[in-house]
Amino acid sequence: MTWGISKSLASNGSILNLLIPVISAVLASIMLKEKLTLLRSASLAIGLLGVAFLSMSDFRQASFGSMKYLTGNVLIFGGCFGSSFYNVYCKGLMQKFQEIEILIYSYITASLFSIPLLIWAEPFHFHSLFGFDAKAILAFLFLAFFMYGASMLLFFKALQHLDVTTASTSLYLVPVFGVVLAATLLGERLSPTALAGAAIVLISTILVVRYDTSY
Amino acid sequence: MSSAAVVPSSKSQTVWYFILLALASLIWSGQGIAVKFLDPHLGPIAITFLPFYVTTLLFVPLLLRMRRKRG
Repeated sequence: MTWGISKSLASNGSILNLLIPVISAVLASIMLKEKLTLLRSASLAIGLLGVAFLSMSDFRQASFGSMKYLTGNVLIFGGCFGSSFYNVYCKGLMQKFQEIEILIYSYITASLFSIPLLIWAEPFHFHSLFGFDAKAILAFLFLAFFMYGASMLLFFKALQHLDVTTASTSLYLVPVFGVVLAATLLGERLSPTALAGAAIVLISTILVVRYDTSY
Repeated sequence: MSSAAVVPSSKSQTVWYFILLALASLIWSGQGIAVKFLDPHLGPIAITFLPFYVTTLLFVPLLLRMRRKRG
């Protein structure tokens, strides 16, 4: 996904990422025989509408028609498909393994396979780490401890007890929290469209929490 | 592969799991800001993988402890 965004636009990446819950729902119905009920489909559609409102600036800056970004867009979509497949496949593995085991083994595998990619695509020098300022150090630690660590443990804990389709609807909360963080930490203004989008996403989440019983 | 849902026994449990998901989403929403702070120092692939390797190294002792408990 990162590679794709570097060959495309960040806006294209943000928009294509919105498809992850939809792809997850489709894969879950095929691989895990999860029910794609009317409520779940409606919740996904309403959530997608909400994040579309939140992503208005991305839609304005996006470019899917240009051949220049085709490779990047395909890579991004591949990343989204991979992310969805990972969630669905791990859910299936939870019949035999604990969620922590699945997470750690997948991280070890990904780490080993990614090292050649990192060396080939972006030769790295350790002295870059010594140039980190305080913000960069905090950001690095945030990614290591919270982004890849705590958040995945929380997600997998919930995934063990909920269907992938239901859990995936929560992914639409990410852009909601994103705009709230941008407003509070970076001082960015919340537009009426963004507020409407956030409200719509929350409605889709409440729908599935309150009324989904199709486990 | 058949459905592997462990059914929540009550609505309050479902709400609890959604709170966990909301917390995870809150953390994920901070990724953009973290990447912005690291961007002047590292390339995009290094930003993606270097913290990931640190997490993996932190998880390995946890995995070894789990396997030792199981015997």
